[in-house]
This record gives sequence, C-alpha cells and structure tokens, in this order.
Amino acid sequence: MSERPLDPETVADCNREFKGLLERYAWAIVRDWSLASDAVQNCFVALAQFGGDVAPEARKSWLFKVVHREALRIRSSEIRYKQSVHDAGAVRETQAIYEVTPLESLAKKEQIAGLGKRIEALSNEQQQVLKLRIFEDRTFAEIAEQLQIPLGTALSRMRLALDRLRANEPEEDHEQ
Amino acid sequence: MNNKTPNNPSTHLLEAMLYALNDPALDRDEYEQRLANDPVLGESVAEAVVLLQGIQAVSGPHTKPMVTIAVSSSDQRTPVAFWPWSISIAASIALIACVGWRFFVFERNNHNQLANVQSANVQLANVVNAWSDLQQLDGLDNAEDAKLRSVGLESELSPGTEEVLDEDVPDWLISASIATVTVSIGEAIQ
Repeated sequence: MSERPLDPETVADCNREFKGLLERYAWAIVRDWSLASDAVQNCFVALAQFGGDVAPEARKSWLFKVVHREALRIRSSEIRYKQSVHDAGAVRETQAIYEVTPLESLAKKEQIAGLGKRIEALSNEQQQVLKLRIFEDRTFAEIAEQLQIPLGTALSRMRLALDRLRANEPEEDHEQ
Repeated sequence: MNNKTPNNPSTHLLEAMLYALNDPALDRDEYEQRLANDPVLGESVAEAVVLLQGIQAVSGPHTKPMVTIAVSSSDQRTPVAFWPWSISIAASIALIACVGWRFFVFERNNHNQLANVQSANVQLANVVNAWSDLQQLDGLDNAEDAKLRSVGLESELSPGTEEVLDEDVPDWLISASIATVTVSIGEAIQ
C-alpha cells in the first residue's frame, strides 16, 4: 500500500463522487447503514493518509477494495460485540428503528415514480417474483416451491425483472 | 449460484441482488471472496442496493422492510437523556398552574365584586330611605338634602366596597415558569 498522503481536495472530490456508491456496497456487507457509513469514513481516512500513490484511474477500485476490507472487519467486530453482549445477558433493544433505509440519493420523486412505472410494466410473473422476494421477504427457494416452478426459473424471472428495472435507470446521483 | 456463472452484467446484477437480499441461493462467503478481488462486482452490489432502495420507496414508507437487517448497531445506541423531558413536563405543569390560578382569582374577584355591589345597593337603599324619612320629618331643602346624602353615603359605605381585588398570579410563579420554559426551549434547540 502506498504511504504518501493524498491532497485534501482530491479526497473531497472522491468523497463526492463515490461516497454513495461505497456506502451502498458496504451496507450489503454489514447490513447496517450506520456501520456502512463508518466503513466508508474509514476508507476515506485511509485514502487521505495513504492514497497519494494510487493512480487516478485506479482510485475507484482501490476504494472498493478498502471498503470491502473495512466492512468485513467492522462486521466481524460487530458480531463479536453482539456475542459478548448476548453472553453477558444484556437486554437488546429492538432494531426496528434502524431498518429505515435512508433514501437521500434516490428520494427524487421523479426517479421513484419512474421506477414505479417500470415495475408496473413488468410481466405478471416477474412482478410476482419481485413482490414475493422483496416485499414479502421470501427466499427464492420458498418462492419456487410456492409457485411450483424450478429455482432456476424463479431466479431467471428475477434477473429479467432487474434488467428491465435498470434499463432506464437514470444516471445515478452520488451526492447525498 | 457459484463462480462459474456467466460473466455478464445481467448475471452480475442478479448475484448482487441475491447478496444484497441475503438470499441463501447465493454462497455468501464465496461471493465475498470474489468481491474482494473484483471491484466491478462491488459496483453491481451497489447498483442492486440502489434498486432495492428505489423499490422500497415505490412501495411506500409503511410497508414491511424489504430485507432483514442482520447486524445492527442498536446496542451502541446513545441513550436519550432524561432530564430535558422532565423539564418540559415541569414547564407544562407550571404553565397550567399559572392559567388555573389566573382563572381562579378572576372568578373569585368577580364573585366578591358582585357581593360588594349588592351590599352597597342595600346600604344605599337604607340610607335613602332614612334620609327620606328625615326630610319628611325636618323639612330640609333640596341643597342640604343632596349634601347630606353624599356625606351619608361616604360614611355608610364600607371602605372595601369599591376596591377591586388585585390578586393575580404570584410573581415567583411567573418567574419560575418563564425560567423553566426558557431552559426547556434552549435544551430542545440544542
């Protein structure tokens, strides 16, 4: 890893450009927005401290790798912490309040309305799979069993649905 | 699904969605190993999360969460401070006490004033009757009659008859209320 610091302006530019993307990626790993934000923050601290020798065209990949590593580290730490809390018999609070997904980057009503129209334009089979998987939180194995179709078919319907949903996806606004 | 899946964006997005949804159809550990070496997959994951967010937004804020959050920072949640709430409650009670006190005093003053006026009317009637009797007996002229009547009224009426009771909310209660509300608002702003 490079050890030359990166100038603050470039770090700020990278933050503006990639922060949203990296937070979503980190969320998929740690499944918690607060922890994902921590991972991304640590990533940009590392970029500021050691990113001076990273080639500009390689920065995005570098950031993804660092976020990946940092998110895994935070997740392991969180699991250990929760295990220790559980072993100590501490009372856990409900996590419902943390399940609210921040939608700053996608809160533009036009985008949401457009996505809604694309969902409506999906075939009935695709909508069915999408609804069961995302809104009812069924696994694909359960969906396949419920609809009496092969697992591959359920996955294929989901893949086609995602293709159509992102087909007209507007350019992502990374600023949050 | 495994690492033998075709290398095309469509499949990448499906895998990423499975990962974002934490679906057991995807080998999560194996996929994370691939993620560590391929940032393009990471972008697909981010895109899948964007789609999930959008779909959730389309479904509205009151629907069930689309994914189960496996790890949360709930145990690190900062506890809510107690005393600002207690101050707010105290301020509310103080305000209610002020209003109640004012209403009580207002009603009592009205009652006292009405009783005093009724009493004065009775006394006035007695005095008038008495002077009428005197006039009839002594034959006083009108000027003397009026003068004596006024003197009589001044002497007959009790000292507190026209006094308006000026009992209001005590200053200390007002000051305490204002101070408490000010502190409460200040804390709320902070």
